[in-house]
This record gives sequence, structure tokens and C-alpha cells, in this order.
Amino acid sequence: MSDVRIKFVRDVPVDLDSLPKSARGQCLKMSPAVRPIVGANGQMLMPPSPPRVWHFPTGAVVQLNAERAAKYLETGAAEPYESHTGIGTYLTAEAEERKGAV
Amino acid sequence: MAFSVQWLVDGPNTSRIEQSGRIVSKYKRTYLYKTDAASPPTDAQITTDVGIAPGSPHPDDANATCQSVEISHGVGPTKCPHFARHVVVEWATNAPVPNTVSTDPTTMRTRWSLAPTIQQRYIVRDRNGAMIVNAAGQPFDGGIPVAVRLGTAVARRNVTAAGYNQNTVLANSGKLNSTTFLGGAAGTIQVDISAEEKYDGGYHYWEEVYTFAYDPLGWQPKPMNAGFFQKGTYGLTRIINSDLDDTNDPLAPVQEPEPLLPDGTLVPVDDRPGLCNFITVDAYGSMDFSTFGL
Repeated sequence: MSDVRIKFVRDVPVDLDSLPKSARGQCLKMSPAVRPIVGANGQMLMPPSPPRVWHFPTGAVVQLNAERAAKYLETGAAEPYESHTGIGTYLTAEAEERKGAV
Repeated sequence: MAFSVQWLVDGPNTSRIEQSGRIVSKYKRTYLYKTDAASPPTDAQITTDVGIAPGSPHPDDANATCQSVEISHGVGPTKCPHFARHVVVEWATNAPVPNTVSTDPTTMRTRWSLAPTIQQRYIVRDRNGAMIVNAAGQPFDGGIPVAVRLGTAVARRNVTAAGYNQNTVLANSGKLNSTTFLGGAAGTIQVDISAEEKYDGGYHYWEEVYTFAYDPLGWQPKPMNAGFFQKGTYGLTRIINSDLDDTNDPLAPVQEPEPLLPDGTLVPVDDRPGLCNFITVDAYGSMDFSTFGL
């Protein structure tokens, strides 16, 4: 099987659109911490917030194809993960479509 | 040994306009989870295998994030190695977003809120620092009343109770920043801290609220350097009307405090308000607010 399960050991930004839908369920959208500052007129101001980004948070267990998983494993962002339920299969086609195919 | 996650059915999915005019979309999807493991997996293992964590996006609408994952029998009794569960996942475009996938309340983000505090104040200088004087170059008695807006920033966070030092809550309240904090110069931001102990589930923590009040003039009291006496050659002498070149009842003592120079002598009338000055009182302690770690 070409899929690999990995567990992230640190937060890693990710392009959501490039992910298979079955792997999106572990992503979180993060806002970088922004603290208020004091403006010139004496008022508290919030500096412009950087754009929020999706990422795999620390501890996320994701099943990816071997090529993509290898990138994360090589950089040390993730480690191999093996649960007692092993590798899974995801049937993510729409239910009615599957019924028709059968 | 393997598991499978099968998308069973969608819905009901809704898109409604709330009273505020906001459109909120909600999605519900039921998955069938099966595994041939020899022993039944825990709920946490099932959640991990299904791979949908609270806060994660809906597969087709990234603006809707997962707000609940419900595991139920659904398909009736099952036994290993034919273990099966229904996993119902709900997403919503108005679901709160967690900081991380954890039930620990101390992993929540520090949340900030900002608001102006309106305060009535008598000012003697305008916003450019110039003294406010009448046409004769004299200040208005007691200054002029204005409503000033002082910035207030409030930070909320949860801190684990293990090793929590409650003494610092009261000990640090009222202190001023000793270094630049939130962009405010030293002495311009005063903190008040409140903390409430919480026991939720297996978690014991303190809910802290930091309130930072900003005053560009600083929070230490600054009374005008003024009084009824001035320093003379032989000690203190009462200031009398003739000292102010007031010919009416010249030997009578003045009825109001008169401004003094830093050496304790009277500010000549001609030099007012230019040489009027203030005394800074060290009423509040200070500390480096960065140690709060907010």
C-alpha cells in the first residue's frame, strides 16, 4: 500500500488545496499571535494581523501518500505512526454515487 | 489488520440567515468506521483513525470547521474482529476555533480585548504639551475639564494550577511597566490582575484576567510643585501678597498655594506658567511586564 501514516511532531503549514480531502481533517487554521500596541493618540491599537494559515498541528495523525509523507519524515516534522488498527482505507466518494456504481 | 472509513450519508446540511444577517452554514456527515483489530479500539483511536479533529475544515467548505465528533453504535452490536461504529461529524461556519486539538483548557489562546476608558480630567496642557493660558498668559485656575480616553487592554488566559503562585496576583496588581510594554513607555501602563480557580473535569487551573490601563502622562501622581511657604535665607517664610506684586493688603498671606521653583523659592509671576513644574511621586512599584508571558 502506498499510503503512510505519520504523526506530526511540530506545527507545519500546509496548502489545503493540495491535500487529499481525507487528510484535511487534521488541519487547523491558525492566527499568529497578535498583541495590542499603544497608538500615537494614546489609544490601544491592534497591529494588522498576518493572514491565517492552515497547518498540521503537533500531534496530528495523517495518512498521506508515501511521497508526500516522506517529505515530512525527512525534515523531521513528523514521525512514523502505527496504531493497533494499522493502515486504513477511505471511501470518500459520495454515498449515492457509490450506490450507483454497485 | 486494517481499518476503513466509509462515508455513509450527508445531512441534514443547512444554510440559515441569523437575526444579525449573518449566513451560517452547517454540515453533518456520518461515517462508518470498521476495523478487524483483535481488540476494540478506544474512542480516541477511532477519532485518530477517522482523522477529523475539532477545528479542522469541512472537505468541501474550508470556512466550516468541525465542531463535534460523535461516536455511536449506530449499526448495532459488533464484536471484534468485526468492530464497527458510526462516527457523526458536524461542521459549522460559526464554530469556535481551538488553538490545538486538546481538551486541556490551559492550551487555549490568550484572548485580548481593547476598549477606551472615558475619564473626566482637569488639564493644564494641550495635546501638544503647550500650557493652556488665557489672553494674559495666565493658566486657568485648576485647569480646564475635558473627557480623556485612556486605552485599556484586557488579556485572558488559563494557567495550570500546578505550581501556580497566587501571591503574585495581588502583589503585582497596581504595578507599572518598567520597560516598554505594548508600545507604551515605562510608567505609562498599569496592570491589574484577577484570577479565578477552576475545576473542570480532570483539569485544575486558574483563569487569569490581565487589565492594562494606559495613560500617556504616566500613572505616578504628579502634583504641581506649589505651597504656602517658600525657602528663604533663614528657613521657610510664608508667601504674602506682596511677593506676587499684589498691592492689595500686601502683608496678608496668599489664600492659595503658589507655584515654586525646584529650589523651593517662589516662581515669579512673570515666569508663569513657563517655570511651573511638577513633582513626581513614587507611589506605585514597577516590574517588567514581559515576565507575564502573555
